[in-house]
Amino acid sequence: MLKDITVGQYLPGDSFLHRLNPRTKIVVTTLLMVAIFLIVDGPGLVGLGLLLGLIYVLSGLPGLMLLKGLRPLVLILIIALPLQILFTPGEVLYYLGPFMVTREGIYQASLLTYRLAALIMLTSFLTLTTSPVALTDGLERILKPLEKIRVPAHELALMSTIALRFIPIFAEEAEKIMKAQKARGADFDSGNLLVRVRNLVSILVPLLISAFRRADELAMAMEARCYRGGDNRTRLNLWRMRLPDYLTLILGVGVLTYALLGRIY
Amino acid sequence: MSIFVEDLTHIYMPGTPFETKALDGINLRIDKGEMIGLIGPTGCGKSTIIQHFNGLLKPTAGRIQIDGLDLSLMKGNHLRKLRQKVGLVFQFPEEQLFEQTVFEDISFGPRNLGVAQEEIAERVRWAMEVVGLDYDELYHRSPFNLSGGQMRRVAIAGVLAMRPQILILDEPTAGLDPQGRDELFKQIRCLWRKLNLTVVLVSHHLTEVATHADRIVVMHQGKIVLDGKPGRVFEKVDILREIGLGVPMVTDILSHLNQRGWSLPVDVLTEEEAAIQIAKQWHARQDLS
Repeated sequence: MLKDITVGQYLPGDSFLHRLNPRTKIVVTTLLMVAIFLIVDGPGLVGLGLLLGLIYVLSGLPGLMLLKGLRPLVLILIIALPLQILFTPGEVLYYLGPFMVTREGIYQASLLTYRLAALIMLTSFLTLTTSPVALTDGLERILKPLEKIRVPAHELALMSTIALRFIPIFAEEAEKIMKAQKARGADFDSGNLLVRVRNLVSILVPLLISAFRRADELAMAMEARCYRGGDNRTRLNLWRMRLPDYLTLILGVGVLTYALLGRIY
Repeated sequence: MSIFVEDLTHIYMPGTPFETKALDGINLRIDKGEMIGLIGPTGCGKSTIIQHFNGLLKPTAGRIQIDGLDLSLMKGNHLRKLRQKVGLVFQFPEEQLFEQTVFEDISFGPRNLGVAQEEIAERVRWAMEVVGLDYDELYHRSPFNLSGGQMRRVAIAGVLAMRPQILILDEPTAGLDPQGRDELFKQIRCLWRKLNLTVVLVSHHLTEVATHADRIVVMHQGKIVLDGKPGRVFEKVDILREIGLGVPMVTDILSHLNQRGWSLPVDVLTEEEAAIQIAKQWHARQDLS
């Protein structure tokens, strides 16, 4: 259940995607994310699907893992889809009580589903094939030029890595605490709202406490090893830009250009 | 209450790259009133198996019966009643404390079971006494301002207040000082005798549990490798060493002496007894030569 959260999880491997420079992956992911929300034409949408398929093949990831990552989407769609379908004005297909189902509504709803699914897949590809260390590395390199205008690039990168790194840990912890409270007769699945909220407190309080404790311990451990920001730090692994990186970048820019042109004309 | 486990297999996250077989065809029978030590190195599946005993985990294959009732058939309310009878104290249970006072926290369990207010007060007082906490001094304090050992006791009292008939403790002494360990074990043993409980002590520390339990079950890689009286288990020094469990110092000394031509019994548990045995043979050898 909670353990199935794949966001922020890294799956070691040696695929084309794994070997790509993290900088390339972050930049291209961002480009494609923008493109996903710009593309509206049929051929473009099909092309996007094919592109995601290609990335999937190049990633060497198990398909089930990606599908599981899509599960949280279902909840969002349950809320968003009816609204989209019922409240988009346009050509009426049929009436549902006081509401009407429109052709545009259905189109918008399917587009929304498609886009969100593509978005989640795309980010999953990034986090599943890039280790947290590589991810920070990439982020930092990208933000480096901004240090001239006092953007704390290294600190930002570090913070985001730590946040990503802790998602699965907290999911695990929440599950453990939930089990412990269940063992004490807590019921999280039934009962009235008040009881449920009260029972939820029995998970949230210990979880919050442990989050602070972990943060404290981590800070202490880093200080004990004389950690001090990014100045003059060297790296064990140096990522170089290679031919596949340039090709991927060109592909990303190409897709975005196509999306932009599609919007303008 | 008795626990009966038949061909129990549990696989975590089946069908993913993280798939792991935590339990592999376990057969186990724990009778009413037994005090069992469930021993094994980290990752052997001991924490997984105990979560099956109160229905927190469902078996991938096989079944579990508590007092003849099949757990896989239980749902909702029945499962909650079962969890009242099978008290499970998790590892580092102090991490699940959340209420504003010690009293409130210990009464969380009984409250969930719908116990009447007056009886809850009575149970909280009783549970605190059992684990050696001063009720009048501590009941209104915040559990987060207590010492680590006291927090552990509050958490254990929280499970005891549900009045379970089977008590399972997962590494109850982890992180406690030697004195605290001894005390806790004594309290558990006292409770076990008084209430005729069935107790399962889970630990990776063989020596510590051996002196308190009547029967030892050793697990390794999801399987049961040894099962019997502490003395009998210690006789299998080789197996214990092979799976990376520490052998008690007494057993270690005796088995080393045996390798050098002595013939001492290895199922001795205390230093005194070992000393007597060694002295006896020492004299016998002196007489011979």
